Amino acid sequence: MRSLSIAVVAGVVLTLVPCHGSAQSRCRPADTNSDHFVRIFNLMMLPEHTATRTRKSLPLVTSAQITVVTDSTVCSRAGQAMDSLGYARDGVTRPPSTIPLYVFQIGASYAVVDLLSPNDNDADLIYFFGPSWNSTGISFSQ
Amino acid sequence: MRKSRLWLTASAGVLTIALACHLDGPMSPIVPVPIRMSRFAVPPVPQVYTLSSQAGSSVELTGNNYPYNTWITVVPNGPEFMLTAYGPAQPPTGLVGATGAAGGRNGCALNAMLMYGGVATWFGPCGGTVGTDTVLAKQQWFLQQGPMPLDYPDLDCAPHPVTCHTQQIVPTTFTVAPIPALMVPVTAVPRTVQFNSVQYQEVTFTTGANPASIFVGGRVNGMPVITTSWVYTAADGTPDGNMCSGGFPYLYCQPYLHKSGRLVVKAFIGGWEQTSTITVQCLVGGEPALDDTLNDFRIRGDLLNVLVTSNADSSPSAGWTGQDWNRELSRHESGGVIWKLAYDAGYVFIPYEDPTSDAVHYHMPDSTYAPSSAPFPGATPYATVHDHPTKEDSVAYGWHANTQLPSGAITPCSRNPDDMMADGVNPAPLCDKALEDSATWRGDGPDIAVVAHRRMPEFQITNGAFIWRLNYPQTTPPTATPFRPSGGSVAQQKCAWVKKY
Repeated sequence: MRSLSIAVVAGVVLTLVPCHGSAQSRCRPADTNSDHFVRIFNLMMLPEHTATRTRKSLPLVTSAQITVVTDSTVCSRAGQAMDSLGYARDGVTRPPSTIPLYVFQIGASYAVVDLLSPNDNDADLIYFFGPSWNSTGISFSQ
Repeated sequence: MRKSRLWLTASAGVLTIALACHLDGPMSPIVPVPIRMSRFAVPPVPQVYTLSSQAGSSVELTGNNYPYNTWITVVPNGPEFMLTAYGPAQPPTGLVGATGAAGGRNGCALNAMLMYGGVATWFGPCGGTVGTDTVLAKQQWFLQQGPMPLDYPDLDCAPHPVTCHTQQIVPTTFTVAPIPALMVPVTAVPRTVQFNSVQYQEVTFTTGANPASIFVGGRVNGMPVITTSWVYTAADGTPDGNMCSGGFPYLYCQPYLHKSGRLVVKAFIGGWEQTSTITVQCLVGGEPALDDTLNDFRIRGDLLNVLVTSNADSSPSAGWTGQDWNRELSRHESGGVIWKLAYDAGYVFIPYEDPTSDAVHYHMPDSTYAPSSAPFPGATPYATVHDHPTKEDSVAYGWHANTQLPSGAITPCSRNPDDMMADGVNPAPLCDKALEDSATWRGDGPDIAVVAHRRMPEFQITNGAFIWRLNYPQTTPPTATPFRPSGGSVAQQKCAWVKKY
């Protein structure tokens, strides 16, 4: 229910916030950090984790369909989606963000990880999005 | 039923003998007073008994009724009382103490005695210096005042018509205490066993008494030790090993063990039932703080106990009051510091509870692990510790405001069950813990930063899976070493860590 509500909110916000395609054009390249998250997504495809995968509305895909995104257009869209989440959270309009992100494609869906923004918590957050960049949930890795 | 009948028969026999003997003074009650072992769960305190100076009076040492042989000291506290003699009667007029009055027809009169069945002991030569009586006590004991002097008035104090002596009646007191003795901490040989690579292992557990002997009556006497139970419980909570029966005076036990676990041995020593415990565990190798046999692997138990401090099994919303979190109930991260003790004395864990921590946040001030905070002289900080009490797939609230999205907005993760999005209509989304991947885990970003900042390893305790050591010095990329306190393969489960006792 909450996932649905945040998806609706994010969807609405995405249509309201002007699109600045050039604002977020950089994805972080594959490295040991992204390897870890790719492993997590692969684990979610195992039969025993169907419920976990379903909660995040992720499709059942093969390992080959889980990739680290390098396409600048997709990266830019990921940045917009993250900014939309921020607007839905506090209602404050801000300039487009530029912090590089890890962006993952999982079939037609996406996941985004930001390891560079201030983080006073003891976890790395994973933001899941559907094919149209509607938010489908958030997990944390720790 | 058969036992009861046998006991009744034995009691009747004692009754018959006792009646036939016509013993002077009070008789021991025929029916033994039941002994409750719970009485002996704590170290004994000295007992003070009051005995009337009146000839033939007695008092039972009810507070020193032991189920097993126990050395006790009985100290007469006085006061002395007056014995008055008429004419030339003996003993003559004078003050009388616990050793009584000498010189009469019955040898010794009005002397205090310790009585056990038909056995009596005294506090010194009749009429002499009063001393402490040290006896091996068991079950019912009595203090008894001796008889009046035996007089023949016609011969001993004529013309006094009735008696030659009268006595002053006063309360006298005696202090009774067991001779202190402690249980020797139980030892295990071999000290560690790699249960994951052997089918079983014979282990010898040994205990004893300290002191092992005492000097009484001009000779050395062994300090009685009665082991009342030997119990070995594996780390998974199941009994293990062919354990010795309780109630036998054995100071060692040699079971064949199959799994890591804890031996608890109880023994009656020095007037109370004492307990000693030791664990037998596998070495993990490469991590001395976790292989600290000198301190019975206590760091392992301390690390597992951090999850208890964290209320790790609480529901995500437990403790939410509507305005704030009640930390007594809420799930929150906890931790502390492992210190290396001086002189190779092993390791000690000092907990630190962050008053601001939540399910996904824990902050330890630098001063907590500064050398100036050493809990013992010469101790040095070895590693810091915190736990991740949230299980896979479980929701966690908390989320500090300075955990941000790239835009600078705070993360949408719900901070509490009432948290709303900016529209005031939609609740903030619940954020749940992702699956853990032991193959690639090196710590989350903030934790890796903590290791770099503190310049020492960091132990991370997860709820239900691994305990990780984020290694220091850090490499590129950083590394983490997993330790498995429970679960895993059958062989790994045989090496499960033992929780605190």
